[in-house]
Order: sequence, then C-alpha cells, then structure tokens
Amino acid sequence: MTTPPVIGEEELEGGPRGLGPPEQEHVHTVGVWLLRVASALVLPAVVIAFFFIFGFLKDEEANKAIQVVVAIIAGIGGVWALYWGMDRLVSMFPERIARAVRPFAFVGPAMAILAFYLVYPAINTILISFQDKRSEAFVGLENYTTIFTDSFYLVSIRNSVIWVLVVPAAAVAIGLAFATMADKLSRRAESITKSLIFLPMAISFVGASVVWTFVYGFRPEGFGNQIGVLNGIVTSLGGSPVNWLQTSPWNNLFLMIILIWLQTGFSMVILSSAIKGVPDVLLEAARIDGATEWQAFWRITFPSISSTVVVVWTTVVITVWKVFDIVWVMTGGLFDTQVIAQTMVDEFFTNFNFGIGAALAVLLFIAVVPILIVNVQRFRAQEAIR
Amino acid sequence: MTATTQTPTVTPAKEKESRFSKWPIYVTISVIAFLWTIPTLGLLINSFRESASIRTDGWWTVLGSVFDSATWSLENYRTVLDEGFGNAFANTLAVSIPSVVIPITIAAFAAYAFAWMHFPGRNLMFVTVVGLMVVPLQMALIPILRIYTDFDVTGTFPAVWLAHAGFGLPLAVYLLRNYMGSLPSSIIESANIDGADHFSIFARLIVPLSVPVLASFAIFQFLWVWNDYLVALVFLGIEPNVRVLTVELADLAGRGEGALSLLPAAAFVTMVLPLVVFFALQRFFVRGLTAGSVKG
Amino acid sequence: MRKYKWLLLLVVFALIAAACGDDEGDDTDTTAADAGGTETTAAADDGGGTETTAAGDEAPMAGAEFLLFGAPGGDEGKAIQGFLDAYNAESGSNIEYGGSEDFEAQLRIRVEGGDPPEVAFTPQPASICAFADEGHLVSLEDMGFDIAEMEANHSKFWMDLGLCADGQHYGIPWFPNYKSIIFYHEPTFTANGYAIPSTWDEMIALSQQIVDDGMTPWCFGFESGGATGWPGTDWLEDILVRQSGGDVYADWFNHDIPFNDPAVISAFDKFGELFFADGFVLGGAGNVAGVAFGDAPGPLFTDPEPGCLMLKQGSFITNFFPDTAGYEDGEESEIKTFPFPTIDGNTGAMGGGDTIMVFDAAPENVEAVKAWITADWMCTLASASGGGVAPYGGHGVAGIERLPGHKDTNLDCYESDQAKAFAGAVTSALAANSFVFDASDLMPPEVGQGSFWEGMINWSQGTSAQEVADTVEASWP
Repeated sequence: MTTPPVIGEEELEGGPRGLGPPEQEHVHTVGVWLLRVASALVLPAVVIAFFFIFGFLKDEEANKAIQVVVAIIAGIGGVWALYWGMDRLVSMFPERIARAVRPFAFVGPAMAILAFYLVYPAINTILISFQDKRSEAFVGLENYTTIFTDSFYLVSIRNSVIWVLVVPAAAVAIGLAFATMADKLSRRAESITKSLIFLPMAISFVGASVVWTFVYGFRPEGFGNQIGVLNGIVTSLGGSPVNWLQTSPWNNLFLMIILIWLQTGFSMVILSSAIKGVPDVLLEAARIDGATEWQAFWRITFPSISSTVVVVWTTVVITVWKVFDIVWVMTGGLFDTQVIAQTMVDEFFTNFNFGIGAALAVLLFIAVVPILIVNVQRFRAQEAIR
Repeated sequence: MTATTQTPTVTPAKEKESRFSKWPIYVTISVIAFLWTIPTLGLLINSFRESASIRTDGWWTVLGSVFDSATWSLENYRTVLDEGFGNAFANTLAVSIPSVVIPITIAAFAAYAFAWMHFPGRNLMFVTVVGLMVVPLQMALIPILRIYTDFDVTGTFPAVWLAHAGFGLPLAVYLLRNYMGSLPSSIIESANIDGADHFSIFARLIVPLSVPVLASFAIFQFLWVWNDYLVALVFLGIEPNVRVLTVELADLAGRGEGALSLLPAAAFVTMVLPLVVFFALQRFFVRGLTAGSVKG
Repeated sequence: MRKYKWLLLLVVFALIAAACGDDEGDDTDTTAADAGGTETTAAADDGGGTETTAAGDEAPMAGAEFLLFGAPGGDEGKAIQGFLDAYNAESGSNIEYGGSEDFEAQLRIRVEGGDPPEVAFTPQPASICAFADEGHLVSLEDMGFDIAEMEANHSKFWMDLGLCADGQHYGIPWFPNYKSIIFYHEPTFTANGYAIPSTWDEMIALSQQIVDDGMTPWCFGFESGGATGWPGTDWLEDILVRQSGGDVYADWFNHDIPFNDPAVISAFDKFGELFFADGFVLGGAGNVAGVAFGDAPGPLFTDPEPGCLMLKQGSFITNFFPDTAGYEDGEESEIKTFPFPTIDGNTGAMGGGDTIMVFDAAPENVEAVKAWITADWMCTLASASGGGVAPYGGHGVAGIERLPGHKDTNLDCYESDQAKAFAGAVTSALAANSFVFDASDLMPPEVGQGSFWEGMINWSQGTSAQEVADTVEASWP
C-alpha cells in the first residue's frame, strides 16, 4: 500500500472500479457545477419549504401524534421520494452529464445539512478563537498562547491525551473480545450477555452520574455507613475508606473507567455486527485446515473486520476528546481531573470566556487530523482490495 | 450393540472437547458481564428502596434481607410517575422517531455515494464529514439558535429534528460508508451488468444488505436523542408543554436531596423504551445475513 | 429535442429555487405582521407558539403573557408556579414558570442566540451587569421604578448589585436566602448546660468544652461535585464581614482591594482557629472536602448520641435533613438554630437572593414585576399557607418557605417558627442595609465559581492561607 496523498486530493472521474465505462475527459464545465450544486440543494430546500408550508408543525399545541406521523412520512417516505425524484430528474440529462451530477444528488443533501449545522458553527468557532473574551476584538494568537503556557490548560491537555490513549484501547479491546466470545454462545445467551454490556448506554446521563455515586461514594469515619460499593468492600476488609475521586492522579483513572463502561457497549455492538458479516465458509475452511479458534480469529476474523475496528476506535477517540459531562458532574475538573472538552465548556458557559473556549475547541479539531489521515488510508486500502 | 456403542464414542468425545474448550469463554464472559452490571444493579436496587435508607446504607446491605418486605418500596416510582410524565413521554417520542429516521435516510444515500460513486471532491468531502464528528455540540448551539430565532422556528419540533439530524449525520455517514464500502464489489458489478442503475442498486441491494449497520446506528441515534437534554432544552425550550423526559427529570430531581432517591427510579423509567428498541433490533444482528446474500 | 429537455430541466430547477425563496419570504412577512400586532413580542420573540396565541387573544384586561425563567426546580419550582397562578388569577395574566438546572448557561445561550426570555431571575447578581452592559436589559429608571423607595425597601446593598456601568439600575430584588445560621443539637446543649454562644470567642470556648466532654462539636462538608468547596467560602465570608466590616467586604468582592488583602488572610486565620483545632471537626479537617455537603447534617441525627453538635449552613439545608427529623413541623425538632456569632462586636447577615432582570419591558410585564416585589405579594410567595394573612392567599408547596425580599413583609406570612425567625433576621437586616450577599456569587465566575472554591479545598487540606489567597488573586480576570 502506498502512502496516499494528503487529504483533499480530488479523485479523477471514473476509474477502474467505477460503474460502466470510465467517464473520461472534463465535464468540469460551469454548467455542470451549477447543476451539481443545485441538485445538492434542491432536496433540503424542498424539505424546508415543506416545514414552512405545513405551518401546523410549528404549532406546539398541535396534536403530537399527527406531528409524529407526518414527520415519519416526511422522514422516510418523503425523503425517499425526493431522492427518487431527484434521481429521475438527473437521469433526464444526457448520460454524460447525468453521471457527473448524480453523485451530488446523493451526497448533496447530507453535505448541505452538515454545512449548516456543523461547518458553519465550526468556522464561527475558529473565528471566535482569535477574538477576546466576549468576541469584541481580535487578539491574534493570544488565546492559543494562553492555552499552551498556562499550567491549568496544560494539565487539561495532558489528561485528555491520557484519556485518548487509555479509553479507546480498553473499550475496543473489551468490546472486541466480548463480541467474539459472545458469538460462540447460544443465541439466547448471546442476546442476554450482550444486552448487559449494552445496558449502560441506555441509562440517561442524569442516571449514570448517580450510578457512579453508588460506586465511588466516600464517607469519612463518623459520617455514617458507606453507600459506595468500592468503599463498602474496602471497609468490610478492615481498611479505611478511600476518597476515590479526590485522590490525584488515580482519580483520573476512576473517571476513565466510567467512560470505558459506557463506550464498551458501543464498540461491542458495532464490532459484533461486523463479526456476523464474516462469511462462515472462510472460518470453516480455516478450521478444516486445522486452525485453532485463536488462529482462526487472527487469520480470518480480525483481518475481515479490521476496517470496522478502525472505525470503532476512531469513533471512541472522538467521543473521548469530546468527553465533558462525566468530569463535569463527578469532579468539575477539580483535583487535577480537568480535560480539554470540560475546560472548554467551563470557559464557554461558566466563565463566558468565549475566546479561550473556542481555542480549546479548535485544538480538538486539530487533534483529530492524524486520525483522519489514518482513516483515509484505511478506506483506500479497502477500495483497493474489494 | 457394536453399532450403537461405536457411534456415540465418536460424537460425544468431539462434543465434550468443544464444550471443554468453551469454558474459558463462559468464565470470561460471565466475569465481564458481572462487572459491567454491578453499577447498574446498585442503581436498580436503590430505586426500590426508601429514600432515607438509600442515604444511610449501601445498596448491597439489602442482600441480607431480600425477602423482608420492609426493605422495598415503590415510593420513588410512584413519585416519578405521578409527575404527569405522559406529556413528556409523548414529546420525547415526537422528538426521537423523526430524529432517528431522517438522518439515517440522508446518511445512507451519502454513504452509498461515498462508497460506490466517483466524483470530484469525494475524499475532501468525506474527510470533512469524519472531521465534523469532533465539532463539540456546545459550540454549535448559539450560532444555530441565532439562525433559528431569525427564522422564528425556535421551540418547534422540526427545528429539533433537523438539529439532531445534523449532529448525528457525521457518525451515520462514517459508519454506513465503512460498512457499505466493505460489501464485495462483485454483487454491485453483477447488478450493473443486469442494467440496474445506482438508485435501484442502492434501494434493492445495498440497503437490505446494510440492515445490521442501519440497525446499530438507529439504536445509537435513538439512545442519544432519547437521553439528550441539551439540544432539547436549547431548541425546544422549557415551556411546560414541550418538555421532554430528561428536562422533566432534571426538574423533578431539583437540587435537593431528591437526587439520590428519585433519579434511580427515573433512570429506569426512561430506560425501558431504549431497551425494548435494543431487543427489537437485536434480531438484525444475525450471523449470515450478509454472508448468505453475498454467497447467493 | 434533447436540447429542449435540457432547458426545461434548468427551468424546473430555477422554479423550485424561486418557489423556496418565495416561501421563506412570505413566512417572514407574516411573522413580521404578527409581531407588529402585539408590541409584547416585537422586542423579543419567543417562538411561534406564543406569538400566535398572543396575536389571537383580544383580552379586555392587558394581562402579561410570558415564561418566567429561573433556576429553582422541583418543589421550589412548583411553589413559584403556585405564586404565579395566584398572580395570574388576580391580574388576568398568563405567566408560566420555567426552571432549569443549569440556568446561567441556558440564559446565556438564549440571550446570545437572540431568543432571551421576557423576564428572568438570577441567583448570580454578577451576571446582571454583564447582560446590561451588552444592552440586553431594560433599566429600572426607564421602567419607572422609584429607586429611592426600593433602596429603602430592599436595601441599598442589594440595589447596588444591579447598578451598572451607565449609572442605571438593572436588578430588581425579589427574595433572599439566609446563610448566617448555625444549627445545633438542642437536647445535648440542654443536658450539658451549654449556653448559646453570642461571640466568636464564646463559640471557640464552647467547642473546646464539647471536646473536653468527649464529643465532637462540628460537622463540615465541602463536597458538591463540580462545585466542591463552596460551603467553605460561606464561612470565610461570614467571618470577614464581621471582622473587617461591610465596606472592606464590598471592596473585596468588587476587587477594589486584592483578594489576598491582609484582612482576608486574617479571616482565614480566624476560621483556622476553629477548623484546624484538635478534635473540633468530625472526620478530621483533611477529609472535609470529601464529605458531601448534603451528608454533613447526618451525624446531627445519629442515635443514640449525635456525632457532632453544630453545623453552619444556609436555610435550605433542612431539605437534606432526614424525614424523621420532624424538621418541617419546626416545633418538635431536636435541631435548633442560633445566628452566627459576633466578632469584635460586629454582627451581619449573609445570604444570597434571586434578582429579577427584565429583557422585555412591555407595560404588563413591568406591572407584574412591580407587583411581585411588594410586601403583599412577598407574603403570598412566603409559604404554602401565607400564614393565613397573605392578601392573595398562600399558593406554595408545603415545607417550602421563601424569605422576604421586602423589609415590611409581615412575619406572620410564615408557617413555621423557624422560618419566622429567619425572616425576622432578614427583614431587619434589609431595613438596616446590613444584609450582604455571598461574595462568591458577586465575583467573576473564574473566581466565584472556580478558584475561590478550589482555594477553600486546598486550604482545608493544609495549603497556607497566604498561598491560597495569592493563587485566587492571580486567577482574577
């Protein structure tokens, strides 16, 4: 596999694996581009128009059941019909043009929505990061200098890096091990055990914070019995209670365990669905060749699902970069537990220091660039082998 | 005699061996599942106890008096359910279902294009999509709210649906594209030879083959929306008639001592539907769904 | 033929685009017209729903219609809704209450997002001028409030919290809470013949006596999740305001003197006389940061002997008392209170309070707010029964008693003797302008909700007062 060029390189039209005969030469005319943009925007525009026309959707008093039904029809039926309609429209163009425009009718609506909901705020954030506290004047790189010199922010960054190294590795490893092993159980046992791992994901966040109070709870002597199970164990063994969440640096680990507990369910479910997709024939063939289950896993299963492993790992890494509520609720970043995202929210919504908050957010964007490169490489490799 | 003795000697031995080799799996699975369940178990037990005893003794102490009726109380559930949750439940459903369906549909089309179509800017767009996963939600709230306010759609359901769709799209496109891209190209090529166009390949082949990943994303998006507090609070508001469950719960628990006693019960009340969804979609994670179709 | 098709398609695209543009245009027009019909919504829109109803409503009485936004939730929120129901019935208004756990962040988001509430009340007076300076609030002067009269009724101190850069007032005092309270275990005091201490030195002597008698005098708990440390700030503030006086206290939170001023160090040292004394603190001073503030009262109630005899905390802490304490009845409880003692002969009343901010000064909104801060309506807000004397009846929730923000509030508005006593302390402090706010609510959030809390944690775990104060000073933005 050769190292692919930097992200953003535009792929040529057609190519060996494209459908039909390779589309050659330049359809890069202005007209085609206009059509591409138009095809991308028509669908969202129709949806928005739909919301405005059906004014009752805006009426909070309107019957919710009707709203939901309309929404589902619009969501499934309507959106499908619109895509279909777009596809028909595009197909009416000469084949050469249609082929150039069609992908944009497929991708466009997603990109338009993303542009509005995420790209625009992201650009906005980048701008704010070069401005002062209340976004009133440009201050150049001042916010960034602060982040990289003030020891408080440096500890945030250090902690976040540790989180990113530990949590995704643990969540993916446990999730993968569990998904692989559960695959060998009976249907019913698999379903039950998997749902136990999945369970944490279903608990609302308010609930989850209480869950861990009943694990890490600490009461010094004189303040009654322990209500946290860990200290319950410690004291029943004759030890004195430990203040888990306030003892640096180990408190960071205890907070990470909460996120591992939450994210393993995600990685297990996705990896499990990938494992189910590994063709039985391949595994049977390996077994017949005398491979042990362990060998079969590493020779057949793992290579088949490696792209999913990368996907899950990437997703968990990004979740970890963005983790804020666990720290926010459990320690508020006190006792040296601050992480980037929680510090960012704190700066933004407690201190109203928009400049620093935005700069921290930009730091998060930059931190994922290496991960993006890994992903592009993966996808190229995937396309090369299929 | 001989015939009957001979046959069993072979098969049970084999079975015995495979069963024996599964013991480490059973043990490991049980240990992990046990560890994962303990925190939730504590919450479950506490949700059925008197609020006073939750604060005075650890939840594990009830294990000694499981059959003592004085141990248990439904008071917390009664308080939680008495709060007129019906309206909040309906609101949450009205928010959740479209917020799951809309992004899945849109993402599926985009993922297909990213995986199987060639067009200029493809890689740039895809990398942007993945990169957008890292945009913190909190950064998007104020700019979006400004636009919503200008168009006067704040506090409406479509405003929340589209916001959830927008925030959920990157993960959806990413997961779906990975899955669709891993489908063997042979099936698509053969369909192409049969004269099918992209739309029908997508609708008739790719979507049915992608059911497991569609189901898993649906679960996560549903969970996320169902348990979301921030997006609903900002775009829908705290007006009593549009409150969703989480907003209602946060209000119920308040800042006082109610937190420890009511939140466990509330957490389980809100958890019921997500679990039902999980079990309902569980059947899509079945071995051979893709492999079978591919072989055929 | 093909060319023709081409053109047709372009026309279709153009038409769709145009149609969409029209739709959006039409919609904005209609909304503008709607908003024009009612001045209420012209200044600050609040979503489509409110508007439609407002436009269609031709009520003869110009009642206010908005969502009052605030922090309290749960029963406290219900008590406020009960109060509003009474006001709505009286004035023909339709005002609803909406409370949010993270009120400050939500309010900021709404204001920044161009969707502010019409009226809100905040427990953090520091935010008032932040909003006022950005031009989001309407000043009391512009709304026709009588500032002098308000200063007399609600204290100049409180009014000054809303006095912003342009010299105008933006905060309307509503209802306070009270923190200069020490809870104690009455039966043990009686059995041992302990007298209620009226000075700091007496309190230290009493604490030593209790230790000598083999008991532990104090319970402390600083833990509060992300807000750990705040109970410590209350102690320090109560000491500082008595030891150095209200002027130094005001200079301190206004940062006219540095955070690490000698007066503050000496307040820390005074606190240390009690906090670090041998055997004074249950569980040891070093563990205080780990005790949940809601768990701190627990040992007062342990059988047969209380684990500690005294606790200083705000009036709300009774919500954390066990149900068996019988505290809500007021009379039978074993736990009674005495005011925080004097230091060098100085007394003080420290607490906090909810202050109203007006974003949309429609006449009926102003009228509503003006009514709420009168002594009569304070009485309705006071308790579930209004003590039977509330002119509009009491409409709250049993057990929730709001202290009065108006000096003339009738103390009979309160149900329990306990609340009456607190209310009495607060009304006389308001009349004497000696009611001061919790300084951490008045400092910039980096300090008041950040480094100050953290400083109290570090101090409780052995960092020197000077070092703590220097660190906090350095964090002042």
